[in-house]
Amino acid sequence: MGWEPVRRLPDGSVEIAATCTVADLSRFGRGCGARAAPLFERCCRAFLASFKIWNMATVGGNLCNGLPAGPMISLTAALDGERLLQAQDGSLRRPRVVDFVVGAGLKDLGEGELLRSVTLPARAMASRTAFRQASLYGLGRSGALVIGALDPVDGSLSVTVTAATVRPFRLWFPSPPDARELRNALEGAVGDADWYDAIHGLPAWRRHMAFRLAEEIRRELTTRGDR
Amino acid sequence: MLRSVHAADAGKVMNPMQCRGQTEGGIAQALGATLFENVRLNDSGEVTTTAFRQYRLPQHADIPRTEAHFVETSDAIGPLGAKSMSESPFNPVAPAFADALRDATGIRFTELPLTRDRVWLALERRAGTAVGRSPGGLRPRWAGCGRCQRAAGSRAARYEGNPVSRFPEARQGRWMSSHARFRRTAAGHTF
Repeated sequence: MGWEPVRRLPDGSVEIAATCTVADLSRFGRGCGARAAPLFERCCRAFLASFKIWNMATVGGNLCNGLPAGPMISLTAALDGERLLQAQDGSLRRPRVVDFVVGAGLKDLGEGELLRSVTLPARAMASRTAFRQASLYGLGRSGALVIGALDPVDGSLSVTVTAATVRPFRLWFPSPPDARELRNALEGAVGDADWYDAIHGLPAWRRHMAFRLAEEIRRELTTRGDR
Repeated sequence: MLRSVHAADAGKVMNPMQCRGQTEGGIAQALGATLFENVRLNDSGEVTTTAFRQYRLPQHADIPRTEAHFVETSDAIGPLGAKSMSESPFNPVAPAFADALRDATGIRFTELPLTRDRVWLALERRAGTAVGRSPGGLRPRWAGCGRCQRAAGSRAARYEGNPVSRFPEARQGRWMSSHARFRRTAAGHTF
């Protein structure tokens, strides 16, 4: 399609073309210098994929598959990304990534709609982030993937749970919660049916790991871990 | 897996390099069956894990380096004292892992693969903290491949109940077998 894989926009946001390969994204992340940049590499490495796959698989493809373990979904949802969708009549819409995947393999994608790009806001790119992943195996195929992002402007904290759930769950707190608040928020947001039941992890284990990893992230990103 | 050591009695080994290859390959296959591969059937008996996306085979990066040692013996029947080799390195892997888990947790697991979620669930059940009977299903509608193995102590593949061992306490410390060696993990280990 000739789209530039990744580009930094004048306002500091990052636009990732749907055709951007995992290799291109990794290369960008290693060189961009933004505070959230290390998250790019972590999510790229969450794939169960060799360099051959990295050179062919695209960010858009991973998003449009809508699979719970899709690390590009994790990355772009955690950084509050916005999709650019183009319909066949040329009309555009820009829903949030976190609202894109509505179930395992189910997407908010209209008939004939094209995913053109995903844009990550500048504020998210300046966030301090934390990444945790759990898998039944040493490599790949996430059973739970949780990302935290601490906003540099207002100190708010977001915790995004993916892979363990059928769709991304992004919890936002105006100020970093304590352990109980985080746990209650997770329990309230994710129902029993939302924990992903598939070959790569029992739902009860995924739930356990999601809670555990979220708490680890909370501790890492809060100033004092004893809140 | 901290270390993989395999001792094989192949009688008179005429081609050590090829024999070592069979050892390493057999171990890789067995690791797949022990830790990764899981065939699921639906109520009609149809296989539902029909693609590699659902059926996790070990990749090269998943397999540890193995030290292969050959015991110099001789077979009265085999040519020049050689014994057949081929599939035998496959056999001890699952029992070695099952024994290690038994040593670490006190629980005798009788179903493969020995994945982290199953181990976690068994520990939770023993602690009495597991929610529900069998979240996600641990029923062993498991059709092994032609070389299907049974972990030590297992009987039928039918498992509906609690895998909690009768032994009340898990032993501490390191465990080493002739094949695989790994350390009992600390309480903070993530399953």
